[in-house]
Amino acid sequence: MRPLILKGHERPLTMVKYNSEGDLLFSTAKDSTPTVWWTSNGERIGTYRGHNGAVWAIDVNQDSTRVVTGSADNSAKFWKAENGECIFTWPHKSPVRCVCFSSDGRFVFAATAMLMGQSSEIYQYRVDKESSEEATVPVRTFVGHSATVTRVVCHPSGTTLISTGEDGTVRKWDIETGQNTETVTAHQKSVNDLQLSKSGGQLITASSDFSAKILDFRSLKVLKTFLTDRPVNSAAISPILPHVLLGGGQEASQVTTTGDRAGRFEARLFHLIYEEEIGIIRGHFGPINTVAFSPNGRQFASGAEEGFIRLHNFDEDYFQTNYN
Amino acid sequence: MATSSLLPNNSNATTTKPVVREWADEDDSSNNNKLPPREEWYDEEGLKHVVEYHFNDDNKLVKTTKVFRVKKQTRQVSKTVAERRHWKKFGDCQKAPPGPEPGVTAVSLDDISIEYKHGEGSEGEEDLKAKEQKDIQKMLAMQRFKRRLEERRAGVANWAQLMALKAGAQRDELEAPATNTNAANTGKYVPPHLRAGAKTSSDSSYTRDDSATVRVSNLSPNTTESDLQELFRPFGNIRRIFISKDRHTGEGKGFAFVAFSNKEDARKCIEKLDGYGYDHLILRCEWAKPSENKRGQK
Repeated sequence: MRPLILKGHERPLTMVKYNSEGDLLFSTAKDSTPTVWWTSNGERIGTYRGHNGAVWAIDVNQDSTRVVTGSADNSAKFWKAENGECIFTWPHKSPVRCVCFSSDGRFVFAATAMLMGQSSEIYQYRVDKESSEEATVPVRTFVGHSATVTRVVCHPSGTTLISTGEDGTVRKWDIETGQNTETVTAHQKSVNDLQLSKSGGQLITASSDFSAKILDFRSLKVLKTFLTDRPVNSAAISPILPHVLLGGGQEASQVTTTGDRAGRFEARLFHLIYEEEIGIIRGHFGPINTVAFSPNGRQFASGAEEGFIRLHNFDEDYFQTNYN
Repeated sequence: MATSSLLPNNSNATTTKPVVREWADEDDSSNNNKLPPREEWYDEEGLKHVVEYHFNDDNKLVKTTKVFRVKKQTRQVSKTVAERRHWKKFGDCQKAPPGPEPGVTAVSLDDISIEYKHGEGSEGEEDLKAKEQKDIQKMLAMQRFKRRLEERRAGVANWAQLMALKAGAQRDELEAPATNTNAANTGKYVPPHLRAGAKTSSDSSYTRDDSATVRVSNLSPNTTESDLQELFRPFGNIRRIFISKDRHTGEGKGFAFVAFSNKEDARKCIEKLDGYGYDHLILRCEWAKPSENKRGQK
């Protein structure tokens, strides 16, 4: 397998995201241009121009017509996916750390960082009407975080919002009422990534405390723990095999002070049930900040601190190997 | 349902050569800045040829010929995906021609496969065997190289001669053990510690007294010196602690040497700490073996 290397970004990657069909890959980095790519050949389709700072997160709606991004320039933006036209800009009082669409695509959630004297809050905006007045006022605000929200994900059922924080918590919110229904401290350090399994039954969290965990969506109980020897920045569950992919590496500030062997910038594949490491996939020369499985499970994307995205298509023997 | 073509798969050959022109051609300045048009054609084997021209840094015309084997892969995709294939490029790559941009999308030069941890999968095992074979080959080559080097140094034609020479030299040494003391008279440089009357290494103050040193193994990699200080101080005065670390990663290798000033303290320490559970591991304490090599050199 010869991975495709996408060199469109000039700064460390912050997030990669497949659309629901898996033909598009959206990426954001600490430069100001979110980018969209064809996953079949790595061709760059376009960039969303308008942000004025690092872009922390991106999400695309179910039919891949709209894109939402959150940036450190204290704004979230709403775009037309196919031509990069900015529809709305939501100004905030502190950097927007994460964004997501509701499962029906009618709402957008944007969470702000606990910085500049602001508390971390999740704002819900309505985006199904084209009039901008209605869209710029938040429908609801989810208050009650004790640390910066690092990821928000809307559960496919459409009734629940899940958020993770820098204090290691995983929270469930009722979208109808805006109430925090459940809070679990799953990690000792910051949770860096949150992704759902294909069915939505489980969530996977990646944390700086060197571990990734699988939580049951209903009870928020920790079902599985994957231990590594470095901070985990991102984790994803394979949609077709009982596999989990972790991306991480030593902290960026330490990269230049140690040897290259110490970095451990490989993506690691774990067995979901046995919690054992299956293998590693090398390639990056900086810590991996974000990983994602394509919806058909035959490809994955990883974005790293060095500014490159790598698209790996799995070899046929990956699917034929018996992992039990 | 729709078709979609992928990257040109095998870029077979790329040749770049400056086009040599006569000096007489240069005078036509209007022609100078014009590039010949890009050519593209398919030959009878189905290979795609692309000829492009550009000026290099020396302002010379460069002709680049690329030969592609184009494979068309047909996949069935949903209607919405097929519609999306008609999206036009926008943003920073608005003006880019269709197809992947050369500087932005690249195919990795390395073939990267999953490195299985427990030799799972047949490929991993084969790889390991091949690697072993390679290592042995490398070792043999190195040995041959070293031999040749020694042969050259001794000025002999082959290894057998060298061995004979060495055997002879050894005999000479046995017969004349006093060469060193005479060396000073011959005018050759003799390092101070080999000169007559120099202290022998055994009574020099530099030699480390390893007799009160304890070797501690099965330590966890992130044990620090102060951890060991704390653990060993109750037994007596510690002269020095050395933790073995990996040169690249800075991580502990799992063993350390603790030198006590008193041999009796060290003995007590071994009695108490051998088999002691520390940091979820069972420590192993024993007398440090004197390192033979260093002794021999001194």
